[in-house]
Amino acid sequence: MMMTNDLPFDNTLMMMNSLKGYLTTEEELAFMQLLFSSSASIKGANYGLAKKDLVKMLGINNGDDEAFHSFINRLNAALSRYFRVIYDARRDRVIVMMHVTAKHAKSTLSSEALAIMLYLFYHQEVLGHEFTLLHQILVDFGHESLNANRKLKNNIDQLKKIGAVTDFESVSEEAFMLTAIGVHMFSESFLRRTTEFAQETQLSKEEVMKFFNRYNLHIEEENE
Amino acid sequence: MDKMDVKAPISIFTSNYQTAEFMKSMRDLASLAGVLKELSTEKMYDSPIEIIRFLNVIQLINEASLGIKDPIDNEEILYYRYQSTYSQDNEPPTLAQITRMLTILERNNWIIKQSRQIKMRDRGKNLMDGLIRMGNDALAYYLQDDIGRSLFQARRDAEISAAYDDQGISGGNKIASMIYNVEEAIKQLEERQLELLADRNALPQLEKINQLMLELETKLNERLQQFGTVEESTKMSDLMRRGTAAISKGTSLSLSLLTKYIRFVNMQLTPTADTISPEKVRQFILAMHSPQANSNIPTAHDILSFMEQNQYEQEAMDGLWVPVKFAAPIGPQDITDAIYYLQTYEPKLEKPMSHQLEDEYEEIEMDVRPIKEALQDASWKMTQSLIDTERIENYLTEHGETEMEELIVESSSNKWHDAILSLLAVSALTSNNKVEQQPIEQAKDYEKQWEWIDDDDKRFTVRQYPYDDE
Repeated sequence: MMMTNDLPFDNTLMMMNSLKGYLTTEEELAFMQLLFSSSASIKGANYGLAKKDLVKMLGINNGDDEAFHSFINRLNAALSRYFRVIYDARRDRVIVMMHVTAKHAKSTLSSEALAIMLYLFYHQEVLGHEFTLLHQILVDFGHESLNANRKLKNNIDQLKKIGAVTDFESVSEEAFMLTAIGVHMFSESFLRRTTEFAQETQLSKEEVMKFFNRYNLHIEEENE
Repeated sequence: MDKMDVKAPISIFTSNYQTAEFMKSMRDLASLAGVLKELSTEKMYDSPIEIIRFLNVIQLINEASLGIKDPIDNEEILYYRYQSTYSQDNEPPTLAQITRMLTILERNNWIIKQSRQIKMRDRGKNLMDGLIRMGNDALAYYLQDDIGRSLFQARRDAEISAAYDDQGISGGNKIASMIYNVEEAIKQLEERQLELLADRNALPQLEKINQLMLELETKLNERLQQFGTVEESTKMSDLMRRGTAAISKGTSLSLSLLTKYIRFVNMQLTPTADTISPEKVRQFILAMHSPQANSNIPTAHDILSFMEQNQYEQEAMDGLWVPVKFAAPIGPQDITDAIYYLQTYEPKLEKPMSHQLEDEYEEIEMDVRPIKEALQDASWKMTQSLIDTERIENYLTEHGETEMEELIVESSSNKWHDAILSLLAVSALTSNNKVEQQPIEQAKDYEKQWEWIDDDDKRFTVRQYPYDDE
């Protein structure tokens, strides 16, 4: 599946052109529509396409999950260096995410927002909690800094704005849960470096991915 | 510290202008300016090498007068000595140029040309020393990289302060200058810290910065202490507080950068482990949100910077995944259509624009009387526009109280239709309280073309209101 990684890096976006070989004309159009509608500036917080719209565009039966996932898998196989198509089962939507270099990633979110995101990620993906209470974030991160509460909420708002985190409505307290975007946001390299720093030792990527339950995710995707 | 009770250090800014010493010192600077003026031609600016040739020549004279080298008899000796001393100079000054330089120096009283010797004067020697120090300081400054520069300058400030202020001669606002330079260096360092972490070869630089910062801390604290006891003014204590804050921020920043970097380097020397402690991960995530200033805990951005070093394959491009954020694509056809639309646009004006203004009410409290007056005035104006009362009014103004028949006949004529108009006017005036009628016993008779139905009707006088006679 990762054979695209073997291609020389210089080929960069030439890959996009070879996409035709992987997709039918309908699928190509559906992909373009998907790219367009994943743009935050167009759809506000409601990223991506609803699965039923995409399925209609592809001309497959709504029940035919195999054809649907085949489409997503083929796209990811071809584009995995630059784009990643994900299916958000909870919202029943399909979203395209983009690969950002380490240098430019710094301008997407503040250090604090990324730390909070990591915290939520650890709490929900590793420990398996469904949601995280605002109160708990405050207790853990609160420190003694001035306006800690407001700063924290500002940072969580940043995360909400890019659709990585959403309010969890089913409890009476304020609580947050990761969206499919949030689950996929951290790159493997970032998780690896962060964990290495935490352990103060080198770690293999496999070990780190296992720790963050990323492998299950991959296997699931491939099995689907 | 017996210097403590010495009076304020010698400074040209606080000195008495009228003294001979002050005049001389200013004249020294004028002489320096005179020499420098010759150096400031466009040619010198374009090829700064000329400056050092000039300084070389002065240096030779200086060395000769100090006795390090043989005395210089004349221009020619100087010319040849230049060539043998500065053999690396491919274009040594010509004899004519050297002669010209000597003329400049002599005119500005730097040297004396005697018949058998060219001698340096004291003024020349002092100014020459100053120039050389200035040049060497500048060179040392530019040899530093841009973060090191401010740090270096701050340290120089401390040293100059020690060399001058401690000896009773003011070195200028050296303490303030030193603190300024420290703050500048910290600003630079803050801006460039991520860049430094992303650089695989930054370790020596980080070490040097930290070294400089530590030295500076010692120097600055020494200086501040010394000044603290000399001058107890509030201005000074503010400055000292600023300085202490700046340097402690600077040392913790440089130390934290260095230790983070070393932590990263050391991490790569460890063997690959195969267990991950969840508690350590949790603690680290909590710590990286807002690490202490001097800790070795990297923030998320620091980690991304380390990834830019690309130590692991393809790590640099694997930063984050974020939702696609394109601007909506605009095709060339869309642009063409839009331009066509704008070029051929005609505003449609089929219906006149109608817009209803909303009534605005204003609440004003006022007396009833002016309203009544205003209303009366208005109705009077309306009456006047229908009935001509002017002739009657004019007549009454002129003649005062008048009998009815006289008024009717004299104001216009004895014609019947004039009588009707006049009567109308009188009744209008009466009803609007402009005139008043008074009954009388006897009335004069006028010749007229009409008769009263009831002769009693004419037994009235008419007078204007307010009455003229009151």
